[in-house]
Order: sequence, then structure tokens, then C-alpha cells
Amino acid sequence: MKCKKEEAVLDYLFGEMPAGERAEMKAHFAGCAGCRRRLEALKGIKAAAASALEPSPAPENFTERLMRRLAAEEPASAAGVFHNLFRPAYALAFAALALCVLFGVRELKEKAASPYAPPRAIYLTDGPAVPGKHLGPALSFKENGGGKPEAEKIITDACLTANCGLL
Amino acid sequence: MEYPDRQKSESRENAAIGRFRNGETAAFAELAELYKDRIHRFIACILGPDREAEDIAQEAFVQMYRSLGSFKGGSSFGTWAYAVTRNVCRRRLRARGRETPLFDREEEGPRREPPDPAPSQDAALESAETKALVRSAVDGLPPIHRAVIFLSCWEGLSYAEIAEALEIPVGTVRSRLHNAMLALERRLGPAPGREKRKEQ
Repeated sequence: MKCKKEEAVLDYLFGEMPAGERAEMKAHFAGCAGCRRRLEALKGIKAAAASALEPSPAPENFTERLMRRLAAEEPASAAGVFHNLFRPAYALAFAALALCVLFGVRELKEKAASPYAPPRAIYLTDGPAVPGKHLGPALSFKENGGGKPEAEKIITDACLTANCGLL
Repeated sequence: MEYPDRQKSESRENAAIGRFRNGETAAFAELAELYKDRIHRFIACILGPDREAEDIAQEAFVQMYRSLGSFKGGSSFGTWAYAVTRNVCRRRLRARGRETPLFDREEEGPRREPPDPAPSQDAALESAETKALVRSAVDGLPPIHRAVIFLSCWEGLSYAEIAEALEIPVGTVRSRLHNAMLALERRLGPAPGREKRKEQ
């Protein structure tokens, strides 16, 4: 009859047993000829397999070829990153990012330079703007008593933008 | 080839990894020297005889070189190196249009009859004939059995380390090792222990 502990012989052989169980198993081998024989048989197979699977030498100059390949790939991969920057999609994304940063910085500078800068209100006219009629009141600040401008009004249309360079 | 002392080997590995991380890329050559033969054998276990074995080994080392910076050292370099190699083999199989069940199936390949007469395991294992016989028996095992047997019997990795290298649960390692040993035993003929038990 097969011993119940026979299944555990493999774990014993490969050292995969807690110390307590290992000692117990060792004691078991003394009294169980079946498990003892099983252990010997598995030991033989393990040794045979280890011997059969012994690594054979790699091809000659393997490491030299590998290191040459790595050295050749190194600058190529660095160049690859640089080259990627000039792909249309990457270039577009890069330009958009640069613009965002530029405008962001400009905006921050403006805010920092004039902490009391008024909010801007832009009025668009559908006809040509007449400077005498619109520009006078439009570009003046309406004081709110304390000297702080309430709003900066800008009236413009396509004509003003094009001819006067208002915006 | 004699298996290098594991402790000595690990301290050499760690020193080389340290130098590599400090910018000495040439230190990688030392790691390659330590592992090139083992990685070749591991590839042979997974793929069998393969014309591209050297190229696959080179690719595995290139991968290791590229990701050594992110190697955290939670496992030994060897365990990590086998896991990287396994993934490279897997990718190569996919590229060839062979799916990965090859890694998972446990069915045995065509049985290669050992040369006559079949000796028992207690025969002199050192002899070249016996070695060839056992190698033929091992070659007939499914890749997953060969890999598990190599990592446990020759490399001496623990179940947990094998699990990490092959990306399978520890319980699966145990059952596969058990099945692999039984399969090998069947191919080599009855073990002395079994013979005696039948006689009783």
C-alpha cells in the first residue's frame, strides 16, 4: 500500500518544507521503507536531470558580440528620441505646448505687473467703428470714486482691427 | 560546466549591478558572462533546438540591459533574468504565429525510446551514454516540464523563485515539478524504488 506521506517526499527532496515538518519526515523515513526508496529514486532522477540539463557553452564571442550590439544601439536609440520630435504629430503637439506656455507666462507677467488691471469688456460693432463716436468713451476708464478703474471697455470691429491695429 | 557557488555568484552579480547603475555600462559584460550559458540552456528548454537561439539570447540580454535600471532587486538577478528570457521567447513564438499554450500544456511530446537496454537510474550517471539517454528523455518532455526541471534540479531555485521566473502560481510549480519528475521516471524506465515495491 502506498504511504500517505509519499506525496511529500518531493517537497522534502527540494527543500520545500518547514523545519518542523522536515524533522518529522526525516523520522518517518527511518520507519517507512517505501518512502525511503521513493526518496532514493527521486534523488537519482534529480541528479540525472541536472546532469542532462547542464548548460552547454554559449557560442564563441557571445558576450563580445552582445556588447558591440549594445554599443551600436545606444546612440541609435538616443537619435531616435531626437528624430521623433520632428514627426508631424509630435511637432504639432510640441508647438501647441510651447504656445500655451508662452501665453501663460505672458498672462502671468501682465497680472504681476498691474495688480489693479481692470477686467476687459470688448464690444463688437457690426458696422465700421467711428473713432469720434465710439473710441472716446470706450477707451476711457470709468472711475468708481476710489480711483480704481471699474472696467476697460474696448469697442472694435473688423475695420478697427485691420486699420487701427487696436487688437 | 560546474554550477558556480550561489553565494559567490550573487555577490559578483550585485557588485556588477552596482557598477552598472553607477554608469559603468561595461559591467554588464560580467553579468552576461555569468549567465550566457544558463540562458542558452533555458531557451533550449523552452523552444527546443532552435536556429535562432543565439539571436533570442542576445535579445534577452539586450532587454536586461535596457531594464536593469528598473530592476528593484526584490528577487535575485537570476530569477529576473529567466523571467525576461521567458518573455522574449514568448514574444518570438507569437511573432512566428505560434501561440503560447506551448508554455502551458503539459502533454508530453512524441515519446523517444531510450537506447536499448534501458538502464535504471542507479547506473553510473556520469557516463556519456547515460547522459545522452537522460538528455533524450528530458528532450521528449513538454517545454514547461523541461523549464521547471532545469530551474529546480540544475539551477536550484525554490518553488517561489520558479513561480516568479515562469509567472505561474507556486502551487502550479509544485504540481508541474511532480508531473515532470514522474514523466521523466516513466521515460527512463522504472525507478529502483518502484521495482522493489512491485517485487514485494
